[in-house]
Amino acid sequence: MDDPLENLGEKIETRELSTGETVLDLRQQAWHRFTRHRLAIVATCFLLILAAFVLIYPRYSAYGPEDLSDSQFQPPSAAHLLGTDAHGRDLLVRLCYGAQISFLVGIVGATVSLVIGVLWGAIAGYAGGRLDGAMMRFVDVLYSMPTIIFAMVLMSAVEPSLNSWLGHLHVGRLHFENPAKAARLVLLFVGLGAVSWLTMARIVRGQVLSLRSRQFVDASRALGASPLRILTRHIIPNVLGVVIVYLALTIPAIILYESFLSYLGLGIQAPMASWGSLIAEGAGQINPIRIYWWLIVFPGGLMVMTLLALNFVGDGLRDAWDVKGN
Amino acid sequence: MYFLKRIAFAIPLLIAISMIAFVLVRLPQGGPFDHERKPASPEIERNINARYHLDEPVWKQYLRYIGAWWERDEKGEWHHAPAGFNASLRYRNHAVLDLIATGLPISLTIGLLAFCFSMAIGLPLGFFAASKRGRWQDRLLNLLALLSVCVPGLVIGPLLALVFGIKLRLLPVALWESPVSAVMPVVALGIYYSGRVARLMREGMLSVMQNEFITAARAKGLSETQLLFRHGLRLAILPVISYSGPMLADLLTGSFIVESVFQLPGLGVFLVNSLYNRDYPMTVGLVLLYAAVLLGLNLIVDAIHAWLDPRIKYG
Repeated sequence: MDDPLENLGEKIETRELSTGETVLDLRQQAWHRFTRHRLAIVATCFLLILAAFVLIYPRYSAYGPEDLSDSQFQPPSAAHLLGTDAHGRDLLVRLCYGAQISFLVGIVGATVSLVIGVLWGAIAGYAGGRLDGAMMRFVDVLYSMPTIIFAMVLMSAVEPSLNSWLGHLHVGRLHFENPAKAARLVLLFVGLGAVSWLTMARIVRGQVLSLRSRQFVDASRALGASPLRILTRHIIPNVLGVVIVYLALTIPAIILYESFLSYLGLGIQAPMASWGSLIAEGAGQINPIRIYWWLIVFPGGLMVMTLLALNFVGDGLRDAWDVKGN
Repeated sequence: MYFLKRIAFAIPLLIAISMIAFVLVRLPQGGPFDHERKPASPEIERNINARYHLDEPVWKQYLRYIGAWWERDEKGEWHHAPAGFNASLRYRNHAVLDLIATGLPISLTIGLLAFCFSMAIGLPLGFFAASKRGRWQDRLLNLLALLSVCVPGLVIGPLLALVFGIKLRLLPVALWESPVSAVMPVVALGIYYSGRVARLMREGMLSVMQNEFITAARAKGLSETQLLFRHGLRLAILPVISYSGPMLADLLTGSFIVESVFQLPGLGVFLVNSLYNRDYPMTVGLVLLYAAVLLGLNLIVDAIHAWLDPRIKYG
């Protein structure tokens, strides 16, 4: 044990082990801090209950989301808990159906932005130098574009070709009964994800850049670890906290974008529904003679409550992972 | 010098944006006339396409669009083809620039008024919350600020129209006829930003008040109000100023929801319609205008920031 290099290796070995432990510890600490954040816990419970309800209720309801009937514009009653719309459809079932789509778009869109953002930021930060400069300059350029407008143009441009492509697609048993519906959803996922990854890329790049020059990474490199191993063992676990926090904040943003597009008629198309299109239908029925308040108050209220809950969860996660302290 | 460089960089950027937007809009099959009556015969269809040059390759259309295309007539003489960017394909007898000129004042008015509204609400409330730090007023205002950030214009807009327009009959529900018409759109647009400004202002105040010069001033016997107004306010407002640029840009380019809710004939309505109708001169024109506004505002904010806080150096 006289060889200093051997000794060093052992030290680093123990150090690596201990960093593995602190990662775990950090996660436990984060969980403890999160559970102490009362609002965040309440919000999480609310979201879980809401998600379970919108998934289960339509199955046991007497009405389908696209069932037309003669009882139009019924105010809330025992038969229709939240009333009916212009075509006599039950609003509660429509709302559940719309919530499923809004959640789906929010989660998948945020995941798309996560994948693009993390890859872009990690590669730029790890590569450094000229590649880093070029990649980040590209992000700067995209920042100076009006995002939502760009998403609108992008989606309306790609739709026809995506539509026909999905119509002809047969991959094993995967075949789209209704390509127009599937195309809309895919467009929303990709279009909204594609305009929301910029901040994620910047954050991840900054983190990676500072981690890359830390001693434990140097040590690992000196021991002959490959870049891939360094990325997966050291960099990505350490970036995880920031990424989770930012993901939680991206979901409400994408739900909001989706509702904008659907409100304008550029997102989800009838007879499908999302919160944005339901509010648009309600707003279309504003007239000076009769007031159908339930068509606006319920979809709008549910959307505001969900956004609020998602923001609380995001705040709780931020405190838990202590992102500002990083 | 730095700002000159940035202005010089903005021009190729705008050209690139116009190219991307043009290609995106012209890429899919289907033209601006798809929603109309089907042409009587294939020849007529071909004539229409030739008249509006829809049969040419996209790059040629782009050059023609920006007015950088010369062509030869039968006698072999070169002629400059008239620039295409000015002819809306939907509103046949109107130039794009004229249409933009009718919509711009409305969008501009709403955007600027909403800017003033959110500053007028957000700054005092944020300041007040910071001065009552930790007490119930602070907590209440925090909750309100968070709530306002979660209430998008497409929810608050129809609600306002329902309550103040129809139930109480205080304000006009839609259209752009009298100055009162602006009230509800401005509130619906500005409420989100007032919450953001209040939070920024509060955080700015709290971080400034931790500085040592504040403790020193307090030790010298200044009253708390004097401290807040004389020393706190000046520095605490800096984050709000740097946010005001992106905020104004958002307000000017993001008013299309509110315009659609209240049926105001602003730019946003033109943009949405042009996307429906594949009226590409209009779409690309508007995208360019929005991008130019955004770039210009970012530049101005950076300049103001550098002037206010000499510690900042760009280069």
